[in-house]
Amino acid sequence: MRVEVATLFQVHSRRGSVVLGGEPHVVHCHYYNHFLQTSLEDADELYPVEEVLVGTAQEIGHSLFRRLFAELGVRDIGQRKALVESVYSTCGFGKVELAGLNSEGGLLATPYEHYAYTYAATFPPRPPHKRGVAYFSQGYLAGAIEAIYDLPLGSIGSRQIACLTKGDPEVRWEFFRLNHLLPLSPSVGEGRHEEAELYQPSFTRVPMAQIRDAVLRLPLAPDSETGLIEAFGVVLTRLPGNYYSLISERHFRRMLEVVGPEIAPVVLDMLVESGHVCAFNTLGGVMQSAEWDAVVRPYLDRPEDWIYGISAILPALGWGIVQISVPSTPALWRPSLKNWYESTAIRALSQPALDHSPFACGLFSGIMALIYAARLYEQRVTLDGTLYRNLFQEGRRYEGIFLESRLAGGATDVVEVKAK
Amino acid sequence: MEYVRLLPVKQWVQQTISPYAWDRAVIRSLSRARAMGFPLASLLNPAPQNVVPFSILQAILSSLREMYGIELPQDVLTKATLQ
Repeated sequence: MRVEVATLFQVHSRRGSVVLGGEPHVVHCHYYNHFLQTSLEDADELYPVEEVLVGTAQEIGHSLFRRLFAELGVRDIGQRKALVESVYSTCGFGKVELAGLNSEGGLLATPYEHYAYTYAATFPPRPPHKRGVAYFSQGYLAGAIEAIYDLPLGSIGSRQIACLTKGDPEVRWEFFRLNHLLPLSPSVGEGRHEEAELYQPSFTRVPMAQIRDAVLRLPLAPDSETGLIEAFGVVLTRLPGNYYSLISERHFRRMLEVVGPEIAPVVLDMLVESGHVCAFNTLGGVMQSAEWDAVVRPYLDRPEDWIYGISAILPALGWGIVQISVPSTPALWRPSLKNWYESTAIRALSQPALDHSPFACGLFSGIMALIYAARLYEQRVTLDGTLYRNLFQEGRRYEGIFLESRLAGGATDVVEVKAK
Repeated sequence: MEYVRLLPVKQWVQQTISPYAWDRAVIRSLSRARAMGFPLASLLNPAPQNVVPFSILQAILSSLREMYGIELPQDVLTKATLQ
Protein backbone atom coordinates (compact mmCIF):
# COMPACT_ATOMS: atom_id res chain seq x y z
CA MET A 1 0.00 0.00 0.00
CA ARG A 2 1.54 3.29 -1.07
CA VAL A 3 -0.14 6.51 0.00
CA GLU A 4 0.62 9.97 -1.35
CA VAL A 5 0.43 11.86 1.94
CA ALA A 6 -0.01 15.28 0.33
CA THR A 7 -3.40 14.11 -0.95
CA LEU A 8 -4.58 13.16 2.54
CA PHE A 9 -4.73 16.74 3.84
CA GLN A 10 -8.35 17.83 4.07
CA VAL A 11 -8.94 21.51 3.32
CA HIS A 12 -11.84 23.01 5.28
CA SER A 13 -12.51 26.29 3.51
CA ARG A 14 -15.11 27.43 6.04
CA ARG A 15 -12.68 26.84 8.91
CA GLY A 16 -9.51 28.11 7.29
CA SER A 17 -7.93 24.84 8.32
CA VAL A 18 -5.96 22.03 6.72
CA VAL A 19 -6.44 18.75 8.58
CA LEU A 20 -4.55 15.45 8.61
CA GLY A 21 -5.46 12.61 10.96
CA GLY A 22 -7.89 14.88 12.81
CA GLU A 23 -5.12 17.41 13.51
CA PRO A 24 -5.21 20.90 11.99
CA HIS A 25 -1.79 21.57 10.45
CA VAL A 26 -0.32 25.05 10.14
CA VAL A 27 2.61 26.39 8.16
CA HIS A 28 5.40 28.16 10.06
CA CYS A 29 9.06 28.90 9.45
CA HIS A 30 12.19 27.88 11.31
CA TYR A 31 12.70 31.35 12.78
CA TYR A 32 9.32 31.19 14.50
CA ASN A 33 9.82 27.58 15.53
CA HIS A 34 13.13 28.39 17.20
CA PHE A 35 12.00 31.63 18.80
CA LEU A 36 9.03 29.95 20.45
CA GLN A 37 11.02 26.91 21.53
CA THR A 38 13.92 28.89 22.99
CA SER A 39 11.46 31.15 24.82
CA LEU A 40 10.28 28.04 26.64
CA GLU A 41 13.78 26.63 27.06
CA ASP A 42 14.82 29.79 28.89
CA ALA A 43 12.64 28.62 31.78
CA ASP A 44 14.31 25.24 32.08
CA GLU A 45 15.66 25.97 35.56
CA LEU A 46 12.19 27.00 36.72
CA TYR A 47 10.28 23.93 35.58
CA PRO A 48 11.07 20.89 33.36
CA VAL A 49 10.21 22.35 29.95
CA GLU A 50 10.90 19.02 28.28
CA GLU A 51 7.68 17.77 29.83
CA VAL A 52 5.78 20.41 27.88
CA LEU A 53 7.75 20.32 24.61
CA VAL A 54 8.07 16.55 24.31
CA GLY A 55 4.85 15.56 26.10
CA THR A 56 2.64 17.80 23.95
CA ALA A 57 4.20 16.46 20.75
CA GLN A 58 3.72 12.90 22.01
CA GLU A 59 0.03 13.49 22.67
CA ILE A 60 -0.42 14.87 19.17
CA GLY A 61 1.66 12.20 17.42
CA HIS A 62 -0.30 9.46 19.17
CA SER A 63 -3.74 10.93 18.43
CA LEU A 64 -2.86 11.81 14.84
CA PHE A 65 -1.54 8.40 13.83
CA ARG A 66 -4.17 6.39 15.67
CA ARG A 67 -6.76 8.34 13.73
CA LEU A 68 -4.90 8.20 10.43
CA PHE A 69 -4.32 4.43 10.66
CA ALA A 70 -8.02 3.95 11.40
CA GLU A 71 -9.16 6.26 8.59
CA LEU A 72 -6.98 4.44 6.05
CA GLY A 73 -7.50 0.97 7.50
CA VAL A 74 -3.73 0.44 7.90
CA ARG A 75 -3.05 -2.52 10.23
CA ASP A 76 0.27 -3.87 9.00
CA ILE A 77 3.20 -2.66 11.13
CA GLY A 78 5.46 -2.14 8.14
CA GLN A 79 2.82 -0.11 6.33
CA ARG A 80 2.19 1.96 9.45
CA LYS A 81 5.91 2.73 9.72
CA ALA A 82 6.05 3.70 6.06
CA LEU A 83 3.10 6.03 6.54
CA VAL A 84 4.70 7.72 9.55
CA GLU A 85 7.95 8.19 7.61
CA SER A 86 6.04 9.66 4.71
CA VAL A 87 3.98 12.04 6.87
CA TYR A 88 7.15 13.10 8.70
CA SER A 89 8.93 14.20 5.53
CA THR A 90 5.83 15.55 3.77
CA CYS A 91 5.35 17.93 6.70
CA GLY A 92 8.96 19.08 6.40
CA PHE A 93 10.17 17.57 9.68
CA GLY A 94 13.08 15.81 7.94
CA LYS A 95 13.80 12.15 7.23
CA VAL A 96 13.46 9.15 9.51
CA GLU A 97 13.55 5.39 8.94
CA LEU A 98 11.61 3.40 11.51
CA ALA A 99 12.57 -0.12 10.33
CA GLY A 100 14.81 -0.77 13.36
CA LEU A 101 12.12 -0.01 15.94
CA ASN A 102 9.90 -2.54 17.66
CA SER A 103 7.20 -2.41 20.34
CA GLU A 104 9.91 -1.99 23.00
CA GLY A 105 11.32 1.07 21.23
CA GLY A 106 14.85 1.30 19.85
CA LEU A 107 17.31 3.80 18.44
CA LEU A 108 16.53 6.27 15.69
CA ALA A 109 19.06 8.51 13.93
CA THR A 110 18.91 11.03 11.12
CA PRO A 111 21.11 13.78 9.71
CA TYR A 112 17.96 15.69 8.71
CA GLU A 113 15.61 16.97 11.39
CA HIS A 114 14.02 20.42 10.99
CA TYR A 115 14.79 21.95 14.37
CA ALA A 116 18.33 20.59 14.64
CA TYR A 117 19.30 21.21 11.03
CA THR A 118 18.08 24.82 10.94
CA TYR A 119 19.37 25.64 14.43
CA ALA A 120 22.85 24.37 13.53
CA ALA A 121 22.77 26.50 10.39
CA THR A 122 21.58 29.65 12.15
CA PHE A 123 22.72 29.89 15.77
CA PRO A 124 25.94 29.37 17.81
CA PRO A 125 26.64 25.77 18.91
CA ARG A 126 24.84 24.63 22.06
CA PRO A 127 26.97 24.18 25.18
CA PRO A 128 27.72 20.59 26.25
CA HIS A 129 25.41 20.63 29.27
CA LYS A 130 22.35 21.43 27.13
CA ARG A 131 20.27 18.72 25.52
CA GLY A 132 19.60 18.75 21.76
CA VAL A 133 16.86 20.83 20.18
CA ALA A 134 14.76 18.10 18.56
CA TYR A 135 12.05 18.04 21.24
CA PHE A 136 9.14 18.05 18.81
CA SER A 137 10.34 15.09 16.75
CA GLN A 138 11.20 13.19 19.93
CA GLY A 139 7.67 13.43 21.28
CA TYR A 140 5.93 13.13 17.92
CA LEU A 141 7.83 9.95 17.09
CA ALA A 142 7.27 8.50 20.57
CA GLY A 143 3.53 9.02 20.05
CA ALA A 144 3.78 7.55 16.56
CA ILE A 145 5.53 4.42 17.89
CA GLU A 146 2.74 3.97 20.45
CA ALA A 147 0.16 4.25 17.66
CA ILE A 148 2.04 1.88 15.37
CA TYR A 149 2.03 -0.87 18.03
CA ASP A 150 -1.43 -0.03 19.43
CA LEU A 151 0.14 0.94 22.75
CA PRO A 152 -1.57 3.34 25.13
CA LEU A 153 -0.58 7.00 25.13
CA GLY A 154 2.33 7.63 27.49
CA SER A 155 3.73 4.11 27.41
CA ILE A 156 6.90 5.01 25.46
CA GLY A 157 9.64 7.07 27.05
CA SER A 158 12.28 8.87 25.02
CA ARG A 159 15.45 10.89 25.17
CA GLN A 160 17.59 12.71 22.65
CA ILE A 161 21.17 11.50 22.81
CA ALA A 162 22.88 13.34 19.94
CA CYS A 163 22.26 16.55 18.05
CA LEU A 164 23.66 18.48 15.09
CA THR A 165 23.63 21.56 17.32
CA LYS A 166 26.27 20.01 19.57
CA GLY A 167 28.67 18.94 16.83
CA ASP A 168 27.27 15.44 16.34
CA PRO A 169 26.90 14.28 12.73
CA GLU A 170 23.27 13.30 13.27
CA VAL A 171 20.30 13.59 15.56
CA ARG A 172 19.73 10.47 17.64
CA TRP A 173 16.93 9.48 19.96
CA GLU A 174 16.37 6.51 22.18
CA PHE A 175 12.82 5.18 22.69
CA PHE A 176 11.92 2.67 25.38
CA ARG A 177 8.87 1.05 26.99
CA LEU A 178 7.94 2.42 30.40
CA ASN A 179 6.51 0.37 33.23
CA HIS A 180 4.14 3.23 34.00
CA LEU A 181 2.16 5.66 31.84
CA LEU A 182 3.30 9.24 31.43
CA PRO A 183 0.57 11.68 32.50
CA LEU A 184 -0.46 12.71 28.98
CA SER A 185 -3.85 13.53 27.47
CA PRO A 186 -5.18 12.85 23.97
CA SER A 187 -4.90 15.80 21.62
CA VAL A 188 -7.76 18.29 21.39
CA GLY A 189 -7.92 17.55 17.64
CA GLU A 190 -9.95 20.18 15.83
CA GLY A 191 -10.78 21.79 19.15
CA ARG A 192 -13.85 23.97 19.57
CA HIS A 193 -13.83 25.05 15.97
CA GLU A 194 -16.12 27.51 14.24
CA GLU A 195 -17.05 28.17 10.63
CA ALA A 196 -17.39 31.25 8.45
CA GLU A 197 -17.08 32.38 4.85
CA LEU A 198 -13.97 34.23 3.75
CA TYR A 199 -15.45 37.71 3.47
CA GLN A 200 -14.83 39.60 0.23
CA PRO A 201 -14.56 43.31 1.10
CA SER A 202 -16.24 45.65 -1.37
CA PHE A 203 -13.52 48.28 -0.95
CA THR A 204 -10.76 46.31 -2.67
CA ARG A 205 -10.41 44.34 -5.85
CA VAL A 206 -8.08 41.85 -4.13
CA PRO A 207 -9.85 38.51 -4.78
CA MET A 208 -9.64 36.92 -1.33
CA ALA A 209 -10.90 33.42 -2.16
CA GLN A 210 -8.98 33.25 -5.43
CA ILE A 211 -5.70 34.05 -3.65
CA ARG A 212 -6.40 31.59 -0.84
CA ASP A 213 -7.09 28.85 -3.37
CA ALA A 214 -3.96 29.65 -5.38
CA VAL A 215 -1.82 29.34 -2.24
CA LEU A 216 -3.53 26.08 -1.32
CA ARG A 217 -2.37 24.73 -4.68
CA LEU A 218 1.28 25.58 -3.97
CA PRO A 219 3.02 22.25 -3.46
CA LEU A 220 5.34 23.32 -0.58
CA ALA A 221 7.07 20.01 -1.21
CA PRO A 222 10.01 18.75 0.83
CA ASP A 223 13.40 18.10 -0.69
CA SER A 224 13.53 14.40 -1.54
CA GLU A 225 16.90 13.88 0.17
CA THR A 226 16.43 15.97 3.33
CA GLY A 227 12.68 16.06 3.92
CA LEU A 228 12.99 19.78 4.57
CA ILE A 229 10.80 22.42 2.88
CA GLU A 230 12.69 25.46 1.66
CA ALA A 231 10.50 28.28 0.35
CA PHE A 232 10.20 32.07 0.58
CA GLY A 233 13.76 32.33 1.92
CA VAL A 234 13.00 30.24 5.03
CA VAL A 235 12.61 26.58 5.98
CA LEU A 236 8.95 25.73 6.51
CA THR A 237 7.10 23.07 8.46
CA ARG A 238 3.50 21.95 8.29
CA LEU A 239 3.20 21.23 11.99
CA PRO A 240 0.06 20.39 13.99
CA GLY A 241 -1.18 23.78 15.18
CA ASN A 242 -2.21 22.31 18.51
CA TYR A 243 1.47 21.88 19.32
CA TYR A 244 2.19 25.60 19.16
CA SER A 245 -1.03 26.52 20.92
CA LEU A 246 -0.70 24.02 23.73
CA ILE A 247 2.98 24.58 24.46
CA SER A 248 2.26 28.31 24.69
CA GLU A 249 -0.69 27.77 27.03
CA ARG A 250 1.11 25.17 29.15
CA HIS A 251 4.26 27.29 29.41
CA PHE A 252 2.23 30.31 30.49
CA ARG A 253 0.39 28.26 33.11
CA ARG A 254 3.57 26.64 34.47
CA MET A 255 5.29 30.01 34.73
CA LEU A 256 2.33 31.48 36.63
CA GLU A 257 2.43 28.51 39.00
CA VAL A 258 6.19 28.62 39.57
CA VAL A 259 6.90 32.35 39.61
CA GLY A 260 3.53 33.99 40.24
CA PRO A 261 1.36 36.51 38.41
CA GLU A 262 4.21 39.02 38.10
CA ILE A 263 5.74 36.85 35.37
CA ALA A 264 2.63 37.13 33.14
CA PRO A 265 3.65 40.30 31.24
CA VAL A 266 7.10 38.86 30.49
CA VAL A 267 5.77 35.57 29.12
CA LEU A 268 3.00 37.27 27.16
CA ASP A 269 5.48 39.69 25.66
CA MET A 270 7.63 36.79 24.46
CA LEU A 271 4.58 35.23 22.81
CA VAL A 272 3.73 38.56 21.17
CA GLU A 273 7.31 38.72 19.98
CA SER A 274 6.94 35.27 18.43
CA GLY A 275 4.20 36.81 16.27
CA HIS A 276 6.58 39.58 15.17
CA VAL A 277 9.20 36.99 14.30
CA CYS A 278 6.65 35.05 12.26
CA ALA A 279 5.27 38.10 10.42
CA PHE A 280 8.74 39.36 9.65
CA ASN A 281 10.31 36.16 8.41
CA THR A 282 7.49 34.07 6.95
CA LEU A 283 5.03 36.70 5.76
CA GLY A 284 7.79 39.16 4.86
CA GLY A 285 9.30 36.44 2.70
CA VAL A 286 5.93 35.63 1.15
CA MET A 287 5.25 39.28 0.27
CA GLN A 288 8.55 39.52 -1.58
CA SER A 289 8.30 36.19 -3.39
CA ALA A 290 7.84 35.43 -7.06
CA GLU A 291 4.60 33.64 -6.16
CA TRP A 292 3.25 36.82 -4.54
CA ASP A 293 4.24 38.86 -7.59
CA ALA A 294 2.43 36.41 -9.84
CA VAL A 295 -0.73 35.75 -7.84
CA VAL A 296 -1.39 38.76 -5.62
CA ARG A 297 0.55 41.78 -6.84
CA PRO A 298 -1.62 42.40 -9.94
CA TYR A 299 -4.46 43.34 -7.58
CA LEU A 300 -2.52 45.66 -5.28
CA ASP A 301 -3.56 49.22 -6.12
CA ARG A 302 -2.94 50.87 -2.73
CA PRO A 303 -0.88 50.04 0.38
CA GLU A 304 -4.05 48.81 2.13
CA ASP A 305 -4.45 46.14 -0.52
CA TRP A 306 -1.28 44.51 0.80
CA ILE A 307 -3.11 44.01 4.10
CA TYR A 308 -6.00 42.30 2.34
CA GLY A 309 -3.71 40.23 0.12
CA ILE A 310 -1.66 38.79 2.96
CA SER A 311 -4.84 38.20 4.99
CA ALA A 312 -6.22 36.09 2.14
CA ILE A 313 -3.21 33.81 2.38
CA LEU A 314 -3.56 32.95 6.06
CA PRO A 315 -6.43 30.41 5.69
CA ALA A 316 -4.25 28.51 3.22
CA LEU A 317 -1.56 28.30 5.90
CA GLY A 318 -4.21 26.74 8.15
CA TRP A 319 -4.32 29.60 10.63
CA GLY A 320 -8.05 30.39 10.35
CA ILE A 321 -10.01 33.04 8.47
CA VAL A 322 -9.27 36.75 8.64
CA GLN A 323 -12.39 38.86 8.02
CA ILE A 324 -11.92 42.52 7.12
CA SER A 325 -15.23 44.35 7.01
CA VAL A 326 -13.89 47.86 7.64
CA PRO A 327 -11.11 49.38 5.52
CA SER A 328 -7.75 49.44 7.23
CA THR A 329 -5.65 52.62 7.42
CA PRO A 330 -1.96 53.13 8.22
CA ALA A 331 -3.07 54.01 11.76
CA LEU A 332 -5.69 51.35 12.47
CA TRP A 333 -6.67 47.84 11.43
CA ARG A 334 -9.37 45.80 13.10
CA PRO A 335 -9.59 42.26 11.69
CA SER A 336 -12.03 39.64 12.97
CA LEU A 337 -10.57 36.18 13.26
CA LYS A 338 -12.70 33.11 12.61
CA ASN A 339 -11.47 29.77 13.84
CA TRP A 340 -8.08 31.27 14.71
CA TYR A 341 -6.08 28.12 15.37
CA GLU A 342 -4.63 29.16 18.69
CA SER A 343 -8.02 30.16 20.15
CA THR A 344 -9.70 27.05 18.79
CA ALA A 345 -7.18 24.72 20.41
CA ILE A 346 -6.95 26.48 23.77
CA ARG A 347 -10.72 26.96 23.97
CA ALA A 348 -11.06 23.18 24.04
CA LEU A 349 -9.27 23.08 27.38
CA SER A 350 -11.07 23.59 30.65
CA GLN A 351 -10.09 26.86 32.33
CA PRO A 352 -7.16 27.91 30.16
CA ALA A 353 -4.65 30.40 31.52
CA LEU A 354 -4.42 32.46 28.32
CA ASP A 355 -7.43 34.72 27.73
CA HIS A 356 -6.41 35.73 24.20
CA SER A 357 -3.92 34.80 21.49
CA PRO A 358 -0.75 36.82 22.10
CA PHE A 359 0.72 35.34 18.93
CA ALA A 360 -2.07 37.04 16.94
CA CYS A 361 -1.31 40.40 18.59
CA GLY A 362 2.28 40.17 17.43
CA LEU A 363 1.45 38.76 14.02
CA PHE A 364 -1.03 41.41 12.94
CA SER A 365 0.98 44.32 14.32
CA GLY A 366 3.99 42.79 12.54
CA ILE A 367 2.09 42.79 9.24
CA MET A 368 1.23 46.47 9.71
CA ALA A 369 4.84 47.32 10.55
CA LEU A 370 6.14 45.54 7.46
CA ILE A 371 3.69 47.19 5.13
CA TYR A 372 3.55 50.71 6.50
CA ALA A 373 6.79 51.22 8.42
CA ALA A 374 9.07 49.21 6.11
CA ARG A 375 6.97 50.41 3.14
CA LEU A 376 6.96 47.01 1.56
CA TYR A 377 4.43 48.22 -0.96
CA GLU A 378 6.96 50.48 -2.68
CA GLN A 379 10.35 48.84 -2.10
CA ARG A 380 12.15 45.55 -1.73
CA VAL A 381 13.68 45.21 1.71
CA THR A 382 16.33 42.95 3.18
CA LEU A 383 14.77 40.95 5.99
CA ASP A 384 17.76 41.14 8.30
CA GLY A 385 18.49 41.92 11.92
CA THR A 386 18.89 45.63 11.26
CA LEU A 387 15.40 45.99 9.82
CA TYR A 388 13.94 43.76 12.54
CA ARG A 389 15.44 45.90 15.29
CA ASN A 390 14.19 49.01 13.54
CA LEU A 391 10.61 47.73 13.29
CA PHE A 392 10.17 45.86 16.53
CA GLN A 393 12.83 46.68 19.07
CA GLU A 394 13.77 50.33 18.92
CA GLY A 395 10.20 51.19 19.87
CA ARG A 396 7.45 49.03 18.43
CA ARG A 397 5.67 50.74 15.57
CA TYR A 398 2.33 49.01 16.09
CA GLU A 399 0.55 47.32 18.95
CA GLY A 400 -2.23 44.74 18.77
CA ILE A 401 -4.83 44.12 21.46
CA PHE A 402 -7.88 41.90 21.55
CA LEU A 403 -11.14 43.87 21.62
CA GLU A 404 -13.03 40.60 21.94
CA SER A 405 -11.66 37.13 22.59
CA ARG A 406 -13.20 33.68 22.40
CA LEU A 407 -10.83 32.67 25.19
CA ALA A 408 -12.42 35.28 27.45
CA GLY A 409 -15.99 34.25 26.69
CA GLY A 410 -16.47 36.45 23.63
CA ALA A 411 -18.44 35.34 20.58
CA THR A 412 -15.50 35.93 18.27
CA ASP A 413 -11.90 37.14 18.13
CA VAL A 414 -11.39 40.78 17.17
CA VAL A 415 -7.92 42.30 17.15
CA GLU A 416 -7.24 46.01 17.03
CA VAL A 417 -3.87 47.05 15.67
CA LYS A 418 -2.92 50.67 16.23
CA ALA A 419 0.07 52.77 15.30
CA LYS A 420 1.98 53.82 18.40
CA MET B 1 30.63 39.07 48.89
CA GLU B 2 30.99 41.49 45.97
CA TYR B 3 27.90 43.38 44.86
CA VAL B 4 27.19 44.97 41.48
CA ARG B 5 24.58 47.22 39.91
CA LEU B 6 22.46 45.64 37.20
CA LEU B 7 21.10 48.79 35.58
CA PRO B 8 24.18 49.65 33.44
CA VAL B 9 24.26 46.06 32.21
CA LYS B 10 20.56 46.05 31.40
CA GLN B 11 20.88 49.31 29.47
CA TRP B 12 23.80 47.98 27.47
CA VAL B 13 22.01 44.72 26.67
CA GLN B 14 18.85 46.49 25.56
CA GLN B 15 20.75 48.87 23.32
CA THR B 16 23.21 46.35 21.93
CA ILE B 17 21.12 43.19 21.61
CA SER B 18 17.40 43.70 22.22
CA PRO B 19 14.89 44.40 25.01
CA TYR B 20 14.01 40.70 24.97
CA ALA B 21 17.58 39.64 25.52
CA TRP B 22 17.46 41.10 29.03
CA ASP B 23 14.12 39.47 29.86
CA ARG B 24 15.38 36.13 28.55
CA ALA B 25 18.60 36.31 30.52
CA VAL B 26 16.66 37.21 33.68
CA ILE B 27 14.30 34.25 33.26
CA ARG B 28 17.29 31.96 32.83
CA SER B 29 18.87 33.30 36.01
CA LEU B 30 15.70 33.65 38.04
CA SER B 31 15.92 30.37 39.89
CA ARG B 32 19.32 31.26 41.38
CA ALA B 33 18.34 34.88 42.09
CA ARG B 34 15.16 33.90 43.91
CA ALA B 35 17.07 31.37 45.99
CA MET B 36 19.27 34.27 47.10
CA GLY B 37 16.25 36.41 47.96
CA PHE B 38 16.12 38.63 44.88
CA PRO B 39 12.62 38.79 43.36
CA LEU B 40 11.80 39.03 39.66
CA ALA B 41 11.03 42.76 39.73
CA SER B 42 14.45 43.67 41.14
CA LEU B 43 16.08 41.97 38.16
CA LEU B 44 13.68 42.97 35.40
CA ASN B 45 13.58 46.63 36.39
CA PRO B 46 16.61 47.35 38.55
CA ALA B 47 16.71 50.77 40.19
CA PRO B 48 19.90 52.83 39.66
CA GLN B 49 21.36 52.09 43.09
CA ASN B 50 20.03 48.53 43.55
CA VAL B 51 22.81 45.98 43.85
CA VAL B 52 22.91 42.18 43.58
CA PRO B 53 25.62 39.63 44.37
CA PHE B 54 28.19 39.26 41.59
CA SER B 55 27.18 35.62 41.13
CA ILE B 56 23.77 36.74 39.85
CA LEU B 57 25.40 38.98 37.27
CA GLN B 58 27.66 36.08 36.33
CA ALA B 59 24.59 33.91 35.71
CA ILE B 60 23.06 36.60 33.51
CA LEU B 61 26.30 37.07 31.56
CA SER B 62 26.62 33.34 31.10
CA SER B 63 23.11 33.26 29.61
CA LEU B 64 23.90 36.11 27.24
CA ARG B 65 27.08 34.36 26.15
CA GLU B 66 25.19 31.16 25.47
CA MET B 67 22.24 32.80 23.71
CA TYR B 68 24.00 35.44 21.64
CA GLY B 69 27.71 34.66 21.83
CA ILE B 70 28.23 38.13 23.31
CA GLU B 71 30.62 39.24 26.07
CA LEU B 72 30.04 42.28 28.24
CA PRO B 73 32.60 45.05 27.49
CA GLN B 74 34.98 45.91 30.31
CA ASP B 75 33.77 49.52 30.58
CA VAL B 76 30.18 48.38 31.21
CA LEU B 77 31.40 45.89 33.79
CA THR B 78 33.37 48.71 35.46
CA LYS B 79 30.22 50.86 35.56
CA ALA B 80 28.31 47.99 37.16
CA THR B 81 30.91 47.47 39.87
CA LEU B 82 31.28 51.16 40.81
CA GLN B 83 29.49 51.83 44.07
